[in-house]
Amino acid sequence: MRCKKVKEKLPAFLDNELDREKTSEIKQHLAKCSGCNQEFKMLARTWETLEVWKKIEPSENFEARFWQRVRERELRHPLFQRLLTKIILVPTTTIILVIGLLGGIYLGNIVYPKETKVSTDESLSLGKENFFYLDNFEDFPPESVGGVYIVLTSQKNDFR
Amino acid sequence: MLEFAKGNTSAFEQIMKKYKGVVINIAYRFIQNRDEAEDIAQEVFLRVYDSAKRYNPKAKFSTWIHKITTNICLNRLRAKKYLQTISLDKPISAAGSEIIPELPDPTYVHPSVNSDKKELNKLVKDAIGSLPINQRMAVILQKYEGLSYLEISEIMRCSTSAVDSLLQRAKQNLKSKLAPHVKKI
Repeated sequence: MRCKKVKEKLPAFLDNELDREKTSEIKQHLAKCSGCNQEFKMLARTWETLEVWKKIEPSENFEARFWQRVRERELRHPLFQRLLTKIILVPTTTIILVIGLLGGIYLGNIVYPKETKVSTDESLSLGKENFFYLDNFEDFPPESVGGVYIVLTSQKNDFR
Repeated sequence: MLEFAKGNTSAFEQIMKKYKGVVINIAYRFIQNRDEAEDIAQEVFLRVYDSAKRYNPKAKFSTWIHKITTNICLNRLRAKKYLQTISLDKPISAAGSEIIPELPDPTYVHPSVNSDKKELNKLVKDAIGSLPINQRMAVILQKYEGLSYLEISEIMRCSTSAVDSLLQRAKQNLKSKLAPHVKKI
């Protein structure tokens, strides 16, 4: 492995983050190359020097301050939360449900209209309005064939 | 955490006792101000408190809290930099991570070789503080928290090769700053 490549890998080698093969290659290179070996030792010592910066201890009242913040926040927000649920959420939900229901009815009317199906047989066709009367079992209008027939038959009976 | 999600407040107190030191020290090493570090830590625990019901038990809790801490620290410092400077420096994308170049400190005095421990402590603190923020966070997580590259990549939301690149650069920067204090072999 070339020195440039080895030097690039030294930080990861120092952190034991390389695979077994690369680790072995670097160890072999460091054993032979004094320049890279020196570089590695400087890097390791610098990394070790960072340990002088010790950690700090949390302040004694850290937890107490946290719970105080939680209490203050809950005192600030409950009215807002009540308004949100009762005044805004409930009516909003109701409106959405009503719109959904009306929308469903409207769409249903479009997809499934209320018109009665009419036969396409031309020999039976007496005109749309007359045929409806036949289908709906309402009285024959006087000007229809059925209406004339009824008039004539009733007149025939009168002549007896 | 699952216990707390069910409403057991004492479970949250145990979480805070266990992790407050970790969170405060990550924040402190990053922001280098004790009061602000504690403020960040309070914010982290508030987020944990609020997110209990959304917590995914498949995720490791320590990784999750590290992620929250890192995000708040990075956002806090980025907001401060944005407010404080009108800078022509632009983030540089390298190996999938963002590096914000730091301007050299004009008041920096080259340290003498024979510094005592207190002075060395300050020198290390200043050296880490002079690193670009992503390099700084990677160093803190690797050196002081002992996390692996994989864990760091998950926390910082970048690839392991980006973490490798960050730590490479960070170590070279630290070596150049602290070399006079490192015993020559």
